[in-house]
Amino acid sequence: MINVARAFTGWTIKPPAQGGGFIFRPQVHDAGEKIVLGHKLAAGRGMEDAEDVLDILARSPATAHYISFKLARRFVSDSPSKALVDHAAQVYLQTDGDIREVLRSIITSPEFFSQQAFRSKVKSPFEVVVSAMRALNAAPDNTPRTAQVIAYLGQPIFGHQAPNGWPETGESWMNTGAILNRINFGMAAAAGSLPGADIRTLPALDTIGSAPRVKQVDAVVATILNGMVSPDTRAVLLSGEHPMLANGAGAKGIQNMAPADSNSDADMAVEAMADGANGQNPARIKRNQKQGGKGGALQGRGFTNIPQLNGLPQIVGLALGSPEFQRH
Amino acid sequence: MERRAFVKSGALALVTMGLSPSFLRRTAFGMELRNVPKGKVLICLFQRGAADALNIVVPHGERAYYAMRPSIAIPQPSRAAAGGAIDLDGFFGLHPSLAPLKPLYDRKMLAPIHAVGSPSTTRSHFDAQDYMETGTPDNKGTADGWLNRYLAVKGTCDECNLAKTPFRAVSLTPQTPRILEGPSATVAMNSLDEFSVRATGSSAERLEALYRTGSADLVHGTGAEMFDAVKMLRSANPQKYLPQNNADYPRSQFGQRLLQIAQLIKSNVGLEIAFADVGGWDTHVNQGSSTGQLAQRLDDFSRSIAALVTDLGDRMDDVVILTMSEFGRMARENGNRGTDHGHAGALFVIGGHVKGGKVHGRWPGLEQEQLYEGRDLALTTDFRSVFAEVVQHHMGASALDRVFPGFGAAPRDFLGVV
Repeated sequence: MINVARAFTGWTIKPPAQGGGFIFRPQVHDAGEKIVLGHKLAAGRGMEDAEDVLDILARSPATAHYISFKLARRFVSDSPSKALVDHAAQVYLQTDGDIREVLRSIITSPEFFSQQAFRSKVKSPFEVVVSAMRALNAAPDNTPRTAQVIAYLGQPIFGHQAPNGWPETGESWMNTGAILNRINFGMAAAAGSLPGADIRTLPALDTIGSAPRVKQVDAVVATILNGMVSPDTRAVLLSGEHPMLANGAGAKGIQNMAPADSNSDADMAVEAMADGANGQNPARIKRNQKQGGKGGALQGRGFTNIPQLNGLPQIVGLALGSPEFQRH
Repeated sequence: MERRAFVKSGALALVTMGLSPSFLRRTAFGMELRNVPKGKVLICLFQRGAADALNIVVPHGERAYYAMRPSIAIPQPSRAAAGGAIDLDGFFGLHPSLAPLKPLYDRKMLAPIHAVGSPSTTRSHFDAQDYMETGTPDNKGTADGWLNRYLAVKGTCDECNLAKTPFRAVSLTPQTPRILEGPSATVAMNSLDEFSVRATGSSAERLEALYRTGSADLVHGTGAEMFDAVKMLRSANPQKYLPQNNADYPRSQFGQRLLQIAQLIKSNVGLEIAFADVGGWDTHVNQGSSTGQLAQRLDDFSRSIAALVTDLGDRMDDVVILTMSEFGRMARENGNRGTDHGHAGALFVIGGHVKGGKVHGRWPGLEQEQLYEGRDLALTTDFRSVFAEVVQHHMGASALDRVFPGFGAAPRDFLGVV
């Protein structure tokens, strides 16, 4: 570690006023001999010390394995098999780290096409919101509102504190609070609260507003869930035809779960954001305080005052809140 | 009943031992609620923005304090008319806006700790909050928060059947705070009534059916648990518990959140860890003295906490409230009649079994050579030492090395606060 740090001495940036670009300053470079992962870097050199370090790291078998594992986890499943990762790592080393070839080996593997890998990845909150916007053909939102929704769902953009990046596994995103917020998000989006999205003008849906429910369900499943849902989900969307609904089991104790009065949530959410940022970003705090509790279309960031949905909007809301939509 | 506890809660205890309304309510609803006996509870309150410890627990016995803070120092207790500090022990005093906490100190329920904080030299709010929440100063790579690690270490309480409650750890914040991040299940909610499915009639039924049917995978399972949790909260209906003992919560967001924590405790849903935070402590400009910006923050802070303690009554025997802030502020005031980022700070430990009534921690002094880097209150107690003591002595967890890895928490170094 110390030798790597020594190799990078002299690597710096130009003053921001001059563009802040990269510059190597040989006068502050430690030109002594260094040993990194068994490789000797001879004394008396300059910028090439750290370039060699990057090459040593990039060609290390550990790196090959690490990158391969991350790609396999991203594209196949949370726990990819050792065989898949080992094979990808082999390709990495054989092709001198050609990521395209590594990825090709992963997405042409039998595991990629296996039944177990189908929809095995849980979407991150960012992906939930973005995929909903895409499915609903939403216009890009240049206000902070969509970002606030994503933050509310648990993934404040650029707000991950540890330097290891957002989690890649479903367990990290799934908990009772998270799934509740996702379901409420789906209902809010169907009710027209997602910035830029209006299901009434969605080309795939605008002509079926008064079509039979089965046709509406087919269209929603095609538009929002890539045409693929479990028989159970389909039965639920088809209202009353699922045995659990038919015998009333689902109705027990769940009707009118929304509280009668939830007037102060919006103010609280916006205030909370100001509080949470306290001391971290004065500009943001000021802005939030100035907003003085004025929530966006999604009532600050909580999902409040969602009207009762029926017909097509209800099917859209259920689809966005369905287990299938939480997965890729 | 222990004599000390009796003396402490005085007449209120007698009322509750009899058939007080709260007792009747508990009994009445004991039938329909899960059998979740009362356990120990820890309430952590984070003052985000670095609270100015020297104007909160005021060292009015220090000549240097007044020399360094000509326009913002809190006057000595003898100058009550000028907004003097509330004397605690002849050397320290509370900011006058903390008057609602003084009775707790007198009843030995409140233990201020001074010159406590993080050994990290950072003056970044961002990093310091991160360190205090992960419990690993100067390690940015820690993925989970120490309260979450506590949940894992303590494991589940077999005797008290807490294993299944979704409300074991609740944060009254919009997002899960860093301190609770990690593999153990926790719930973050903006408010109690936000923890509900925002759908009515057949939409709600169908949403539940979507998760009750189909494969037993992570998403379905979590969804089903969520519907159970929503129903459990609905059945427990915490909001029916109105403040007791004439507890008067401020209308502020912080006050209302503490009220909701009390409601969760009273509704016996198995709450073990509660968290809330409050901002506004980054007083670089016009901080004020006995009145002003900081005084207003402290007024809300202290009235909220006092209301919580009053409301919980004899239940405080099982509760510890732990306050924290990422670091203290410079000993000298700056050119804007405020204070800049400093080092050591102060925190409060409050509870029925807290060894309160004295200011804990070794006082390092404020003379020039006693200051940290010549400018800040020096650190004499690592915050992890206090947190570890609370975790072990109050919450009953061992394996402190897993809650605070790399710290080497040794009980012999504990201050003896709980």
